[in-house]
Amino acid sequence: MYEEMMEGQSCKITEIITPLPANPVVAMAYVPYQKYGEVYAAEKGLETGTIFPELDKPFLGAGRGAK
Amino acid sequence: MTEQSRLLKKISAYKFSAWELHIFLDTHPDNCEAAKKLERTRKMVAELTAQYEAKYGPIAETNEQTSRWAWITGPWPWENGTEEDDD
Repeated sequence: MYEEMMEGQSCKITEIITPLPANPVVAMAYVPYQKYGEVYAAEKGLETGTIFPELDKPFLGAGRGAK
Repeated sequence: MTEQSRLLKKISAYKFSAWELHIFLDTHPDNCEAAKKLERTRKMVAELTAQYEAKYGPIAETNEQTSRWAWITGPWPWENGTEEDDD
């Protein structure tokens, strides 16, 4: 772990957070913890509606019902 | 797509990106990479806004680059230069 300060914001990665908790409880819903990876370029992000590829889920209307 | 609207689109794109990073940092405050990226994006927004304001006047009513009342020198919204009796 490294300690780094950025304008008063401590950047010490306290502990590695896994997407799901170590021992998830039965019958509980969990949202996996988002990891910071790639981001879209600004203008592409504006068009798609997010700069995070993992959140870019366009509704394609496919599937049984939709024609 | 005039130069002005192209620049405006770019500014809103970077503002959007900055906002996305801001929200990400709400849940990941210890993420230095995102914080640095946000810092760079904000500088980019300031730079583009300064560029825009140098050419087209104030972009919003309160900005450092222009005086508070610089808007009076620019054209009124309905003056798009097509009428004949333009003074």
